[in-house]
Amino acid sequence: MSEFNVVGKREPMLDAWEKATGKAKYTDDLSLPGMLFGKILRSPLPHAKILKVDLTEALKVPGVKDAISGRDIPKRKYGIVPKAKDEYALAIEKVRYIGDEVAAVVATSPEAAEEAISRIKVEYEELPAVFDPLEAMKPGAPIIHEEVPDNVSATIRKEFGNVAKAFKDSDFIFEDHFETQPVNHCPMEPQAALAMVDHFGKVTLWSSTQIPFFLRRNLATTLDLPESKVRIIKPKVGGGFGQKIDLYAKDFCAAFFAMRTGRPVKFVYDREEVFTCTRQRHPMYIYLKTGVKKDGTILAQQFRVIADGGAYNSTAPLMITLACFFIMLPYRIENLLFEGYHVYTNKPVGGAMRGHGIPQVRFAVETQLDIIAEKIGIDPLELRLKNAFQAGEPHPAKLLVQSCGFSETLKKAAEAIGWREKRGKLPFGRGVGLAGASFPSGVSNMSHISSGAIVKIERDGSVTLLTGAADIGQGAETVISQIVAEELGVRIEDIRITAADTEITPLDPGTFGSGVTLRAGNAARMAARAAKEKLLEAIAEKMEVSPGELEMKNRRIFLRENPDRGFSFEEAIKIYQYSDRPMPIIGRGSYFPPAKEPTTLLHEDGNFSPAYSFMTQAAEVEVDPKTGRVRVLKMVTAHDCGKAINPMLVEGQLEGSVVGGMGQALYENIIMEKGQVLNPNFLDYGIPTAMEIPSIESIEVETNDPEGPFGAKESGEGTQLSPAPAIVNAIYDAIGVRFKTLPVTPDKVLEALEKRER
Amino acid sequence: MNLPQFEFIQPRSVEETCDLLKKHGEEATLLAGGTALIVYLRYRLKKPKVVIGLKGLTGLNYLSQQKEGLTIGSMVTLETLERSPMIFHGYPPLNSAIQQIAVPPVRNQATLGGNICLENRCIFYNQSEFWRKTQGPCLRLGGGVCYAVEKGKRCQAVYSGDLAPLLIALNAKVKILSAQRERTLPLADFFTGRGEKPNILNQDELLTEIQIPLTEPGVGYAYEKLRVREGMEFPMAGVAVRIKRGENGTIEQIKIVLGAVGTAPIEVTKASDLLVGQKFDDKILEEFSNQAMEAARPVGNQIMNSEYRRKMVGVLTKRALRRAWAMTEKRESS
Repeated sequence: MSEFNVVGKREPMLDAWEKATGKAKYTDDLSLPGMLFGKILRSPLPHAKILKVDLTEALKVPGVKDAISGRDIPKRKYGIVPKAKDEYALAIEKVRYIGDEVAAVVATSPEAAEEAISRIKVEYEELPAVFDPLEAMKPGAPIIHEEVPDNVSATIRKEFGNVAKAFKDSDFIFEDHFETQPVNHCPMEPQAALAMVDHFGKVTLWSSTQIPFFLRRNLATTLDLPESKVRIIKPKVGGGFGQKIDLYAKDFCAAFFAMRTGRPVKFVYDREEVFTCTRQRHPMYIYLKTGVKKDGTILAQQFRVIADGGAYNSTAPLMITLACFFIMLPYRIENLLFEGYHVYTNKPVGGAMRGHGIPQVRFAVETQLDIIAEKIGIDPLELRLKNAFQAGEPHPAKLLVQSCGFSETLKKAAEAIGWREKRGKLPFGRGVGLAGASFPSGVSNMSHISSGAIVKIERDGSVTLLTGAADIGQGAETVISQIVAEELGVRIEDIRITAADTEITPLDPGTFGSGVTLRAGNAARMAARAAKEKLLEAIAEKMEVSPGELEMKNRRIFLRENPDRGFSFEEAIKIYQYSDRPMPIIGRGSYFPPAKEPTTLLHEDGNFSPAYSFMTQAAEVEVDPKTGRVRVLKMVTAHDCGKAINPMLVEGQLEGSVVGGMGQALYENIIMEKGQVLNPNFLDYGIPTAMEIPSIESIEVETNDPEGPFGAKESGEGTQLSPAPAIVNAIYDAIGVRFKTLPVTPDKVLEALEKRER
Repeated sequence: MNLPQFEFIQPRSVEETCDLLKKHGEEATLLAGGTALIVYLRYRLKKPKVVIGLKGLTGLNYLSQQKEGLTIGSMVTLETLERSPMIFHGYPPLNSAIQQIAVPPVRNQATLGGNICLENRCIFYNQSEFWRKTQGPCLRLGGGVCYAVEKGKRCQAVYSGDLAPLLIALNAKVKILSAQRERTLPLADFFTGRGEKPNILNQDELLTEIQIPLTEPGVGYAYEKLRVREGMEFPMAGVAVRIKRGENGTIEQIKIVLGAVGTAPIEVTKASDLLVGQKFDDKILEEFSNQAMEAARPVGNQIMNSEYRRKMVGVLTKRALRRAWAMTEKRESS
């Protein structure tokens, strides 16, 4: 009944078998003859001038081949956002957080490298440090980067409508303060890099990265080499969640030492380094003021958001922009003022993490919506439905929403959690809650971002696909193969995919912004179509019909009007060859999301993304009133992902995302004391285990997006936006206590319950 | 974090082990399941010259039911205990306590002896070598400062074993062997209450056997553990109780032992003095619970705050007592 053969099928991930049996090769599984092992010396101080680094003793350790400090590297800053570069691969003049990179060594064994690190002598002059962004913004606070004297390194101010008037016209005004905590991405595979240099001085780097082409650019910059002298290969990557979009010292050091020693060099971070020295989700202070009419219509919202960025920028300007843009959906907000600040502190660095700046503000919005609903006496579901944005509606900031299943996700999620029967009706300690969200399928109007693909039809009827898309475990290679197989009318097993090697595969921005399926999928489909056209032309000539009359399906090429007339795929390829056309049949595709002008979005209104996904999370929780422990019994996630190319992988994305959101709501927190992480390990950092995972119901609300390949939109990040507020709203339903600070730990619940009793 | 260099010796017998301990003294460390020790080595919290692996001591891998009770060799893994029908049917609360330890892969490695001999834990101590550089060495590592307790003059690291409190409540004994002698003592006397040196084992001694007496008719017992997640975690507080039902629903004996809220398992002594002979009711539960909270000594050296942990000792005490009491009822009727 389906019009598709491969798209929409629950195909197992192409590398599932390889991974499940432990045969998949991640960066740390690779080794090269003569390889050296590296280790980085990090700062034990949160803020200090580096007076002297003495490497002498380190170089004396048997097996040590080389050692460097910040003095020895090219003075070239890097950063994922070009205008916000503020970081050296190794600290040069001062260190800005505990864990900042100071020096590095390579040795013939990891043990020798570790020993050598302990022999490096560093003299510091300690500087006053600041750990809270509100303190850091005050005049006279310690300055972390000289070029940013107020410590505010990125801001956004966006206003539309007439906010003052709208507040005046409102029947009710709500003002609340919210706080969120830092959480770590916790990819199963720690960051790793392996580098070698060939006779021509070209650096090849295997790296656990989700963004190979950006890494090439940043690595070339820091090494002071032309991009053509750097090749990045992405092996299997064990999860990224945003944490692997940055260049890290391990990438630079592996390459730099390989250049200096002429030997292959490997760096692998340990878990403590992943926790303290990579990236984390930005903690935020959020002030939110909302004006509504008696009937629940939202008239205006005003935000003041202060993000604790830690010691460096990473994605700062993008993060604070996303936070701003994704409160403009999924509700109709005609009047908005958003002021956002990214502030430096002497702490671990904030970066992109699944949802990227949005989960924090969504927590505020969705929690406050429930406060509003209660105050004005409307069911929270009705309040959301009333303000839900619809497809095709003009958007006040000129976002172009061509497909939107938000209302449907609300209704379906509510139904699945048992909203009507349960809300307000369960015994004390049990409750339900829900929350909505919207997310882009990649960014279109902020920077020049395009994807390429090449499809080759080989003589034996197999298909070779080259894409720069970076599969980091989400299944991008599978989904893109499905798209190509569908377009060519072949089986998924006919496709051989080569992905993410900057020297072989076409340009692709990588895995971020939830844009891979749409961007790389469209490019691959275009390439497949181009190859197909070449083949069809030859067959049409043979059959004396026009190519438009032909169809390619089930490994056959046939006349649409008379399917019996046609050839098998293999026969067709022979016919192509005998018609004296050149082999192989190559199709190329380059996709750039439709945009008015690149990079204008920060200055003027306009569309943000080629397509928007919409979602609702609903939760049922149980609270133990004596211990304060909250247990999530069930989560429902209803997601409008357009057309699901692979429903099984979509479900995998939704389920993983829900559990991550639950971690933020109840369990996870990077606990810091004076800039030092107290729980940099899986024992003390409370990431949910398999035991905490609730029953999860994933509902795919399929819309057909005109821009996405076969109608597909994102499914990776959006789902992580609203589990936390859904859970927090459910806790309120269960015990009547409202939490505005995350995570909601048992001690906080108990304290709140005791306070209420008094 | 790599392992430091050390010599690894794997003796074949208990006698050989004792000789090695005597020979190497302070320079040697015992490796049972390794689930704790390996981390200590990686963190450089221990720097032994010699690691004596006990895996070869098959003589310490036994579990047998005698008429006096259960005797268990110290090298039996937690997983073996968890799967033992003898424990499942004969000591169900012990089975449930074992299941609450860490996660299956850890239980598959960890041993009963190792669990009892756990080093005390502190969030300011159980950290990597790099981590500890920021603050400098704490009391336990020879520095002058305790980072957990302001102006603290003795190490308050927490004894975090899950099984010892319950085994103490059950009046378990331990057998200890050295080249010179063998001694058997109540598990309750095994602990020193010193954060940096939690048990009485001398450098040349080895814990070889745990003896759990039979429980008499009318006895119920239970263990309650405070944790946020259902897996992984050490207890943030643990309460073990043993209660004996007397005539007419009165309490004939009671023992409450607290874990993870002090430098050693804490027996709530007042409980047994006061309330024997009374009826088991909500009022008495409240009293037991208050006494337990009073006896607890949580300090700020864990992720979860100490006031909350103290409160939970009260809650867990009630829950454990109710479960234990219900067990006495079941046993009476059966």
